[in-house]
Amino acid sequence: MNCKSFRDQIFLFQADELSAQDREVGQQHLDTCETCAERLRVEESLLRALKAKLPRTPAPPGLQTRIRASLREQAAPEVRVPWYRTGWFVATAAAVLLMAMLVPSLVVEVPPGTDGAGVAVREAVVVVDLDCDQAGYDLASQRACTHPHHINALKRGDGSYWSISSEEKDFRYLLLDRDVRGQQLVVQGRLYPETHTVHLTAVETLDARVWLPPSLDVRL
Amino acid sequence: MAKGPPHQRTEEFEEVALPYLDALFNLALNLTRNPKDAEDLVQETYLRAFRFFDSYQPGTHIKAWLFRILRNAFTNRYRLAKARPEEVDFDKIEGVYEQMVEDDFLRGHGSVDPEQAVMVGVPDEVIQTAMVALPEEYRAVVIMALVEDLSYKEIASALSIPLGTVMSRLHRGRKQLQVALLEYATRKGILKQGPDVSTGEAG
Repeated sequence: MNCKSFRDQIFLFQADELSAQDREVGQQHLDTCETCAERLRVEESLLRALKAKLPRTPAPPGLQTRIRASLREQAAPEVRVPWYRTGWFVATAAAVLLMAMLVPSLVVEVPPGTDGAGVAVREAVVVVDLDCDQAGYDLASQRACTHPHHINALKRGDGSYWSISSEEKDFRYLLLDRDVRGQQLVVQGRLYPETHTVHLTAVETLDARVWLPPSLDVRL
Repeated sequence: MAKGPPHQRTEEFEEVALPYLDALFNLALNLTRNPKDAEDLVQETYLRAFRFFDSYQPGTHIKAWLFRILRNAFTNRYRLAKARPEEVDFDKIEGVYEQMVEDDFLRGHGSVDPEQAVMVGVPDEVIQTAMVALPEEYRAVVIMALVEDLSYKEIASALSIPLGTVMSRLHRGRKQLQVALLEYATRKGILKQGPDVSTGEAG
């Protein structure tokens, strides 16, 4: 190793982000090169100074209390929501959705397309390949599985599964796509307990995207 | 995560997630640069994380997981609203940085300890101004690596960017910030003026 290549990776050396082997090679160079050893001392000194100067602003008093309160509000038992079953509420929901960008919670509720049977649910789940998951394959293998008859299901926190049903073609990919396996979602819809099938009405992902039926024509 | 009655799950979530409140707020403040927006962003992060807590994988680094959610929520809210800061010429910064380190510390002026010089002579506002001058995606990486001590891998996963991108952003960001510190110290005469260290707008 020469001085140039040592310096090219001096930050990695400092951050301990080199492989054991590369680190060893770097250390050997350091032991024999006083210039680079001095350079490392300077970098270490500068890094300490930078770390000490970088901002560390604590959360303002009161924020924790507000967060605790809003968590409790959210954890309250699911309300059965008859008011949004009128189709006219959709327009309002669309308007609310636009404002939701500015409001902490981004839950979007749209009317289910069923006659009202089933139970309203909202739950965090993971998309899995049902057959592979039951057979014990990990999520990476599930994404790689191209078996034409395998379809996706929603795995719940307790390890049980829900089948997916939706009249909206925008949700169809959830059922069929390989890439969505392993994705964490909060799904909302109506559950038909006898078939363990959930009829989806809204889906929210961890990275804050929300899929909605195209009829709403809302762009996020 | 085991399921329990709602209040029990809330307590469990608070116990594992609330210790990172200050860290999340600090990151949020550095991204939004506005305390009110930062508070809103942190609150949204917690609500969102709580909704996904059922599917949180217990082995995962929870701080990195929370950062990921915060970062995504930030992008979602502000990507349309915020104009990008002026492009930073990082190639120039790299050259300037090399020369400063060389001139200030390695070529015979070696009596001054850089840390000492910066700690004594450079006020905190200098670094704040320099942070604002960094592109937002660099700021996130710098905070995660140098304040929160996340590994490059954890940062890559939190921001959904390749490892190489973490490296280049962090290294460039670090150089630019250190240039700002050294420039100030030089201007104030704390460090000796080496030949030709003018850099324009970095500080």
